[in-house]
Amino acid sequence: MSKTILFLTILIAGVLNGQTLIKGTVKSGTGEVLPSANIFIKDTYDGNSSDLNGNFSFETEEAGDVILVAKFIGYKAKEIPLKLDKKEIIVDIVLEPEATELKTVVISAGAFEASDEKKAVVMRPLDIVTTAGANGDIYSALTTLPGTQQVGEQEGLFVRGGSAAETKTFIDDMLVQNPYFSSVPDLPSRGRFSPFLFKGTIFSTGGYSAQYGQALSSALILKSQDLAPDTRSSISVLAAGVGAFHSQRWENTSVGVSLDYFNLGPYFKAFPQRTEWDKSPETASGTFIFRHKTSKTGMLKAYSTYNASDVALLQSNLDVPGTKTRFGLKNKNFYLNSGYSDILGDDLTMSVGYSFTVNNDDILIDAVPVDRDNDLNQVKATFQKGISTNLFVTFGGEYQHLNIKNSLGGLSAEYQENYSAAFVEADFFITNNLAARAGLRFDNSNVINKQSLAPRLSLAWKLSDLSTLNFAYGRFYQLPDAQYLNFSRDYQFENATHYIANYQILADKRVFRVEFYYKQYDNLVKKIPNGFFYDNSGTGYAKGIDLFWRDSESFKYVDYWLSYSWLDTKRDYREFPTLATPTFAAEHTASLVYKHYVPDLNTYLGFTYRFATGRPYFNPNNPVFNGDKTREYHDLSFNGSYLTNLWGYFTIVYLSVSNLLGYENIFSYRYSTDGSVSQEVIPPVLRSVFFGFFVSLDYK
Amino acid sequence: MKKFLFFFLITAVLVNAQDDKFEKALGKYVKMLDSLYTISFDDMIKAKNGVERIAEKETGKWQAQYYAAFFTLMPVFRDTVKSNIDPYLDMVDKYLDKADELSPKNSEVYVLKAFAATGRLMVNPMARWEKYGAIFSRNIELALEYNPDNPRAHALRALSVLNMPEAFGGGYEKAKPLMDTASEMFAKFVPAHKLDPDWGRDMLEEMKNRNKK
Repeated sequence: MSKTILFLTILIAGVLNGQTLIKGTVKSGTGEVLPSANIFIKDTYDGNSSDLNGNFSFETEEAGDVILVAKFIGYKAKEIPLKLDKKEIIVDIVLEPEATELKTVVISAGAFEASDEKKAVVMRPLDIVTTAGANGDIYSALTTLPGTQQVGEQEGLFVRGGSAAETKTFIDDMLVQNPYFSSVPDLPSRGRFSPFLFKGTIFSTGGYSAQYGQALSSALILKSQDLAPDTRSSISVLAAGVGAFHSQRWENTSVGVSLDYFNLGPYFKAFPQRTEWDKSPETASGTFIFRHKTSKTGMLKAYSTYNASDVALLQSNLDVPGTKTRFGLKNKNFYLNSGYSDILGDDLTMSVGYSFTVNNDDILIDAVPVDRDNDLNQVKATFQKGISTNLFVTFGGEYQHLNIKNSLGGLSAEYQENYSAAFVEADFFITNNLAARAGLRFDNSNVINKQSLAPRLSLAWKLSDLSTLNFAYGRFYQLPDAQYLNFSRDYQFENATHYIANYQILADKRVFRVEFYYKQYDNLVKKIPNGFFYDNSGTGYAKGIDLFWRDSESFKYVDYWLSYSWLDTKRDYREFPTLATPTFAAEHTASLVYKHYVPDLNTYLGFTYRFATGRPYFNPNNPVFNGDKTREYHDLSFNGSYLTNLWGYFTIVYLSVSNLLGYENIFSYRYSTDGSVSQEVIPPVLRSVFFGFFVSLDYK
Repeated sequence: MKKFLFFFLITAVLVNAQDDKFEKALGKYVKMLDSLYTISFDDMIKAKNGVERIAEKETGKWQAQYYAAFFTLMPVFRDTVKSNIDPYLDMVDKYLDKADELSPKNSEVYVLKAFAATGRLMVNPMARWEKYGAIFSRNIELALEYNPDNPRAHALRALSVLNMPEAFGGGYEKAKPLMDTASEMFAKFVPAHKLDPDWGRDMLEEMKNRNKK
């Protein structure tokens, strides 16, 4: 029994074993006091909060070796080992800010980013959808950013003196072979992908990462949405078509299906066109989206879409006055993009993807059949490994198998490309304010039997909380265009070297950026004088300044941005007889995007004004090559979205009008072979009007 | 044998004392739940710190994680932290994930997940409504699936309808039947354990009185 008493005495003595007073202050690395920080002894309830002066004190019954923890939201928690022996202890604690995105230095030379997830970005994905004049087309919305051209007679992003073919689109890091709907002469087509599919967009106008290749000028990097947020359906009725969408969500899986049908026939009857349509555009498409979360970190994605379209138009044949040429196009396109990503542990993440595209254009020019077919199989694997908190490395490789087949009348040409690439890139945070990204990309083209090694380098130097100075350098290689490979394989890669410097102020609701660049083109495909063949003797350059200002703070319910680009570019390539500015390059380009929410009317109003100085065009009668310029380009577009409900369902009623002012834009001129007859290339309609509504059927 | 029995008894007492200490410590804060709207911001953060200390120790108790999330979430709805909401909510998510792990398919945890989504939404409603509106609805749906009688799930659903402009199918009249359901659920709700969540009655009263302003 006495033993028991002794045991109890020890137990009680242990409990009453005096207290230690711990006190001190909590400050940030820059010396500000941190009030209401949480200071406590690990694995006990003992602790206290700091007061308004950052002072704290508390008593504890713990004894011996303990760990003191200090926590403050937005700062890294700190653990301090202490030895407690009933004597008062004074600890002064310094906490360092957590490396949040807003505070760390971000490499941004050349890139415009739109993201929902990140804080420090120039745009949100929704901004793309709501830009007036874009009508929900990603590519059209991006031409309100600096560095791009206003080219109205064909689709594509013409970036910093680069042709449309020098911009490549990537979805979940996989190259998209046919990002636009097939188009007919002198009319631009839309992008194939709805902006609602993506949670993030990076539009790089130069100097981009070694993860992306085969683009001389620009990369549009789209990241697809994860699991559908909920089960819902929607229908949309537009002036020229109907669409339906349904998504079904389970715990870790979601499936989305959409069907769309457009027929512009009735619309063209109501709004007469200047273009002479023989068969007004008709399109049917179906899309299937699958997402499955395989674990807390693993995600499996598949997206597939099939599209068929039919269109024909009549164009004046300038060589035989009074006659017309019929151009008919039937297109079929299937696209599959699938991928799996997961964290493999030890700071190692992996993403692998497979994509497949098949595209057939059946063209009939009067009675002459022209076929353009391509199919692409692609695999890509990317790994990212954190070496330390200041260094992570990205590496991987890809393989593409491409078949191209073109025929004209009885003539046909085809080739196969087996392309492989490997890349490695390191992101260093040299100090908290200085970051570097250095990369190397190896490309191997089987069709021309050439290899290339492309170094890339970016630096970001954070000058203050909001401002950053950026530099980028990079070499970019691209396979010559398919039309040249059909007849010869004796080529080099075309290449471009980018030099970029930018200064950026990125606040929560305001962005200012100015960027200077110089781009040198070498080994461009060029026609050998007085011959039929081409070689890689072409060269060129582009230099300029891009300015961007965005402000969603100064005026209530108003968000606007302003872009301006100055471009000086010349090249001597393809059939050019000399160094000259290409037809897709205007010297000055500007746009103003204005968005206004009117809460009393539940309405969003948007205006976009675009301006460009005249672009060169080829006039065979002018001895100076590309010596003539078109008139200036002006466009003021409007869109309005009225948010309401129909039968209790959330509904958006939509109206858009392009070229409100009715200014006659002329994109270019076409000439007869002998140069005696010419014709303006103009938009299919002076002022276009679109309207429709969208109903979301939510299951509650 | 006697010794063994005695040792067993002591251990049981100590374990009980430990549980008792936990209940007492956390209980102090649980009592504060309904007064959180009225206390000063400083006191609110101090309470948050207190619960956080408990949660950091009691990593095996879902209630500790749940209340740490709750007390970290509440300051978000005060103007004082408007610019700093996301770091708070990152902490909230961490505690809720832990609670979800310890007590899977717990309706209360999902109610709080929905509540946290409204905090994210507040940062930039125009840019975030689509994503976080959907996360809110989904978590409320799951909360009701796991416990159709959870009064807090009904109350939050009513709140989302109440806050939505009439033009989009919201407003007081639309929310009224939902608030009535929530009232019924509150009337018959008895927490299974004294530490289990039992908040929301005041919030519902405030919602019901909005037509009188």
